[in-house]
Amino acid sequence: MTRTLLALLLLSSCQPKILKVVSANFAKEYCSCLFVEKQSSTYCRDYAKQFISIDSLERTENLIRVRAFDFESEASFISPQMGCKLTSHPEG
Amino acid sequence: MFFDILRPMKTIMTFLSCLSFSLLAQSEPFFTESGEAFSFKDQEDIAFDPRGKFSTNSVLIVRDQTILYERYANGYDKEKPHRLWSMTKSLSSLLIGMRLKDLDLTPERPISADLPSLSSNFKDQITVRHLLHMSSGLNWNEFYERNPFQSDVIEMLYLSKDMGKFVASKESIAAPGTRFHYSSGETNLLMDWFKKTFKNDFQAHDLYPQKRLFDPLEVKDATWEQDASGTFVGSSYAYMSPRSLAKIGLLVLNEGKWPLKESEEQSQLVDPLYLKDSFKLAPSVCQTNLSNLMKDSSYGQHWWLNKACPGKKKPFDKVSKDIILAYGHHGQTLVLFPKHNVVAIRFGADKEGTFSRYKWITAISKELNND
Repeated sequence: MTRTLLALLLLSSCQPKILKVVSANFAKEYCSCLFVEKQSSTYCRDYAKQFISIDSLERTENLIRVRAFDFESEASFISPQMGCKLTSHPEG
Repeated sequence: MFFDILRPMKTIMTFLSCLSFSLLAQSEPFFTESGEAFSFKDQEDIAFDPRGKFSTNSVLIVRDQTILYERYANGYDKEKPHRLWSMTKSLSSLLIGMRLKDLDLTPERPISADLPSLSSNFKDQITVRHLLHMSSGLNWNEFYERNPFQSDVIEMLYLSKDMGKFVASKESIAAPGTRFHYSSGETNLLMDWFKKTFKNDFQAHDLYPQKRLFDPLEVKDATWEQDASGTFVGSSYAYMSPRSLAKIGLLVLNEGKWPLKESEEQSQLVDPLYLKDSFKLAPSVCQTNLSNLMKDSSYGQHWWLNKACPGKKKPFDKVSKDIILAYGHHGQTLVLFPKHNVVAIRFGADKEGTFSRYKWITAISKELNND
């Protein structure tokens, strides 16, 4: 609870840039955890989560789409050698 | 006539012998289990301490091709690749050394010769060596979760489509070579330089790590991710299993030659002089007034070291000054013990950051020295 209040306090005073990071960070790290490290979705969800929660997570065959604070990011699994890449995300 | 009958039989026999040879070659593992009396219990108690707020996913300790200790947790096993985070920087260093050798260039090459878009006032003076030493002088904030609000590294990794371009836009706050400042940006600027040396041959660029580093070592599980512009994210995004990373460590300990056995035909994959330079303390480290957290830092060319600046302590005071290290976010650690020909790897996911590398490395060193 204290952490959430602190986070909201900080967010209200910071630039929106940090809000854009939330979905991009989750999408990229969840994608790599799932497709490159081949870990379970439960483990990867826990690994990718930050102190601010996301609004939605969609997974298709090779694509992860995440929405948080009205910003959406997509990470795609390219190949076993190239791993995941952010293919759509808000710019800084 | 008789020989005509034999000919197909000979073909079949040749095929069968090739098949059995290839099956034999495939089944022969690179590493073998140890019969030695190492317990490594002290390091195990540290790495897998159930009271710790950290999460160790694997520990592997090898001497040459012999496994001395191996343990996995949290769904990881010997086959699964693990993220290296900033240990990727040391792989990038190997790649840069190989590329310099290919092109007959020295690390004194100004990066502006290949990367003309730098914003810095000192752009014509920044060399490949300065970037390898983390001493370009470019302004940079290397914060992660603890202070994401002012973090250049977070903006680079998650909001920038071209990481090299993002770093190239930074201004200088010190002359090149005068100030050590750990920066993931410097690595990705190096990787942008690396990409530019291939001109427009993107395929050769994309296949380079696999063909030149991973294939010769028969590392089959390595992944190296790129940014949206096709630059390898040399700061953070390589993945491989502990056994594969141990092979990279053994390559370094073997002064860049592979395979390890002199009886086999060896290739010099990495220039030994470049490696030797990589493990010399960067002059800028001793010239910089470092903050408390970094005060005993010891850094070479994208490798952490255990050498002390004059009047300062070694980071690991009870361990040989010759060890070579790579560190990554969330406690990733690679340690090379040249005197023992030993490679130690610890992978983890320490979001709280409380794993003590100092205690773990000291415990391993103590056991090796008691041998």
